[in-house]
Amino acid sequence: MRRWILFVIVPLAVILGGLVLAIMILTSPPRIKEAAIYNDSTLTPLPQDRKAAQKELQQMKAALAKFRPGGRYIVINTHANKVVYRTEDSIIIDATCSTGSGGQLTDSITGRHWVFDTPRGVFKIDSKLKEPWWRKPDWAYIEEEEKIPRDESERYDPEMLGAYAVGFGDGYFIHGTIYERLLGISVTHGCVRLGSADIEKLYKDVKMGTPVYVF
Amino acid sequence: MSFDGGKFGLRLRRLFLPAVFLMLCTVTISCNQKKEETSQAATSSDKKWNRASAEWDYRLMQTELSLAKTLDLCLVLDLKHGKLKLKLKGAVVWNYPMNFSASDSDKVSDFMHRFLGDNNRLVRPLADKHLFAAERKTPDSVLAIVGKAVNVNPELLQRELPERFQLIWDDNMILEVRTDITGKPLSKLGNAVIEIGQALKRPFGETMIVLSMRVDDALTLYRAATPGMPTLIYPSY
Repeated sequence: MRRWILFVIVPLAVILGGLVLAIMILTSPPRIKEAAIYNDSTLTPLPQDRKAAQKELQQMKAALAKFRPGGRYIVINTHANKVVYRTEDSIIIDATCSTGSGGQLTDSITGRHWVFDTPRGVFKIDSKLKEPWWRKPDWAYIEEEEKIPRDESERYDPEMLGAYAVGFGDGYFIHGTIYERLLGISVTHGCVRLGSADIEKLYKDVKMGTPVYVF
Repeated sequence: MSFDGGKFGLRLRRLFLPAVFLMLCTVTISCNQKKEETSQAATSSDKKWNRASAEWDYRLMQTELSLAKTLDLCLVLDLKHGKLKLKLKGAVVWNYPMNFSASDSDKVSDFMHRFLGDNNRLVRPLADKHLFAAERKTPDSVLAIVGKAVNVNPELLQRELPERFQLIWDDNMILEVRTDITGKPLSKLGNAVIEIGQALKRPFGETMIVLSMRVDDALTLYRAATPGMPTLIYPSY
């Protein structure tokens, strides 16, 4: 009887315990290295004097307000392929778009390398164009395995960008498209494509300097 | 016609004296009213000034400011206003209402207290996320054609619409998001291991709140939330 316990129950218990331990370790989230932001060491206490405390609170509110866009701003959601033109509390335009594919291209001759992502971060509207013409960059020819034209005038395409475009810096635009059926899929080379009705509304309402948040 | 200066002076005095009296009365009454108003304002500001609440606000604002100064996307669990938000550089870039049923209020409160811990921590990094089941947004056959046309690997173009996923913080805090689509499990074994692991940890304490979400929003939250992402909590008080 005792031998039976020793040779069957004990090993079984050990195996089961090990399994439980392994599952618990496996399912524990990885430890994240915590920056100073996650503890109180960087926070300063509120002054004891009431007037000074109230003044400090006002100053802090003002400092925070500087970061808020205040009026209307554009959000480009690359995860769900959405362009939202909004204020903090209301949505003016909620449109389906196409953002950068994340694809990569290397020119086998020169070794130049491109990553077709929509850049993340905070930008500002810096141009508004009606009937924009697209100046085809080198990668467009390399991708199509075509020869890069020597004559600059051969690079221009009047159709590709649709009827309107608004630029948000570094050559990136929110613009119309001739490929409306692909809206909702991340197929672009970094620009943001919108349907013709949505880009028209956005173009007409948006002002130069409007903040653009890309995430 | 003769002009009687004495009579005119008397009439003027009769008119002038009551007018001065009236003016004095008005000034006195308005002064008293002002005094009352100021004292009332002082009392209401006394009542409004709540040091404990001001200290909370100050800590929250300092934390939010330090987060706004970075370029990190930040998740905000705003229990005060019942909103889940994503913030970038201080601006709300996505938000979704957090509507919990009355029966969940204890769980939400437990979650909040566990998040704050003994040291009243307002920010924690997201530790992990797990997608249980999902549906492919665009058929693979379509993406194969599109991918060929734009010279991109079709997998890069695909988006998994989540049916159910979890955001996990240390100390067994879980936010489970469910949508109304019926997806396929990504890995039955992986899901089972996660669920067994959570069941084993439950006796040591776990808080899970469940949130129903529109599928597009769930897609945004799932993809935007990456381990290490700062999560800020606005306590409900």
